Amino acid sequence: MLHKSHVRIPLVILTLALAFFLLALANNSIAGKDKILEVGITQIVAHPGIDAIRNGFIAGMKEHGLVDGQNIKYDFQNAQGQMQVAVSIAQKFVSDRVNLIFPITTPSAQAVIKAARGTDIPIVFGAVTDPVAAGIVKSFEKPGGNVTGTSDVLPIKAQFTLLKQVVPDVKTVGVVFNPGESNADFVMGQVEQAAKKLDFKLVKAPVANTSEVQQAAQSLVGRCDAIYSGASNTVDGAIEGLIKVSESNKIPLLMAASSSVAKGGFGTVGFDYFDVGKKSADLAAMILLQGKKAGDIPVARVTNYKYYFNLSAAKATGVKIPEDLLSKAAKVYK
Amino acid sequence: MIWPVASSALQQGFLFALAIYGIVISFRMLNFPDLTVDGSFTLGAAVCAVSLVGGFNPIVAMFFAAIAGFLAGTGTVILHRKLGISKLLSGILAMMVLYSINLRVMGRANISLLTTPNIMSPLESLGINSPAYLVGLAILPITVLILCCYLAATHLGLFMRATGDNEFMVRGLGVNTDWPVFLGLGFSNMLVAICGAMVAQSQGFADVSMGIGLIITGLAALIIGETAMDGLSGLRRMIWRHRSNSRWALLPWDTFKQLGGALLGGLLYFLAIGICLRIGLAPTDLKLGTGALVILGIALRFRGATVESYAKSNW
Repeated sequence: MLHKSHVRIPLVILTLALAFFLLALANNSIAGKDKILEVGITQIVAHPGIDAIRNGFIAGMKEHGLVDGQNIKYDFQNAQGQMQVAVSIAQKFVSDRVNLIFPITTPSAQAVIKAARGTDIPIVFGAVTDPVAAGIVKSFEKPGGNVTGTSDVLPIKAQFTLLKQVVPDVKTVGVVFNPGESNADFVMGQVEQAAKKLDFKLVKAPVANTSEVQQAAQSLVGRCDAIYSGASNTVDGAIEGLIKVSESNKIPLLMAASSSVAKGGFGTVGFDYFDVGKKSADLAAMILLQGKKAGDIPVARVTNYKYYFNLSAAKATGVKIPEDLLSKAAKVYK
Repeated sequence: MIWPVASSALQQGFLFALAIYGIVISFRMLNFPDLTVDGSFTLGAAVCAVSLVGGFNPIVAMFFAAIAGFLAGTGTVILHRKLGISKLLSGILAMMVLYSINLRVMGRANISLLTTPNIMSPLESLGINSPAYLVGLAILPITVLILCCYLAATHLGLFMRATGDNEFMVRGLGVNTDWPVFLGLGFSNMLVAICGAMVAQSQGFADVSMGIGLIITGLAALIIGETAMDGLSGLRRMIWRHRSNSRWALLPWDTFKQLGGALLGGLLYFLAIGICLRIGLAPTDLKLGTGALVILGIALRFRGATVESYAKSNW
């Protein structure tokens, strides 16, 4: 038989906990009642590139006169890699009736679109590589619905052209990538096209998570003349493993993401993720300040591609970067 | 302010209920800590999404998903029973293998269902935040709950539960105990796969990583639900005296308590996530918050009901 006191203690604790939560809720709702614009930002994981987009967005908004804490308030949420949480976050933003939602990455954007359906909350996405295939917009030119955003298609062909300029005798390129990422299909399609055009052979080394990256890179040793880091968040998260393999075996490493060049790899051509956020802020400002309809604003692309080089990594892998490229570079790491 | 949190928690709780039932059936009834679910959940979503995009009727697509889930579950049992791999390891292996299979099934990592009409479309036309939508979502988990309670009292159900309780005893009676595990785990993974299919249609996409963390969600919900059910049955006993001799005692209360607890636990788990998001917890601390809730659940149970009294309480 259960003793009364045994039941009472948990009941008391439970009641207290509930009271605390309700209090917290009430407190929160009072704090939010002001004529400040509210913007919800949701991302699927923490990642240097994604965080840079977020910071770029906030900086861009500031340039449009929307200063955090003064006339705009941000609600950052991170799903910590769990899709169920991404859905809960999206529902929270919608029930808060925020003025605009800025989802970064494909799954977060898809969750937001679904949750905001039937409401008039505008959505500006950041870093969705292929928004048409993801079902987020109807077309780049006229997105439709209440959605627009910035696509982060990497200049993959230009990157491979750079590789050919820097390492002229390259025949086979090893690619480390994660087929489980939502944009992998699109990116690998581009990689294959570029390889065909520039007459490379590809050796693919797929990984499922960050702990497999170094091993996958190792498997490429002796099978390729250069390694490409695959435009993949997973690989970027474990880029050190790739750099180690490249430098200890003297295999030139072409980076996909400019944000990784500071760590290693001879270099790349690409954009600053910060600019993706800024471009998204321009779109958001058009909606919030000029009253434009999101669905009428074409999906933006960051097109001011820049060169990034890392000289010490280039030297370690026996790569010589031509002077004319170096002089054009946006950033050269020593 | 409270309704949106509750509404979101109820939606997610009802949607994920089937997966949590599946986890309860394998972990608690069959005593088989089955980790296949991370994979079979995504498998259900993948099969359903591919079928929907291929032009199949949503009901048919869900049916395919159910079959796929059943096969995944039996696959794990084959690893365990026929190849002699331990329960935990066969689940892990199945989960790993299913990751590749799911990618193969989908052909890419993410299939969008945002523009594909699906089983949720008629429900969603009622309005995502309307009470009618919630009632619609509740139909499936409650039907399955009643169905499972009914099945648990049949010969086959008793056979399965007895095997889970004490396999040696059942084998001692000269019965082959492979079948109940086959059917049980198949059934549990079938529920999980149906749940995956529902979730994919509800959230508007199937993604190869959508099953990650499901087992954690499920176990958290299971434990919170058990504690809540303990509290409830303690409360009931304070108000309403023991009546184990009445004809009510013939109903499968154990099963009802386990699965009802799963449903309740799922609702409470998503409520906790909703509250954690709402009180302005830093994003990095979200998992800490939900973890703390599970710890609270276990601790309440440990402090509240001693093991002895728990064993004696027959709800």
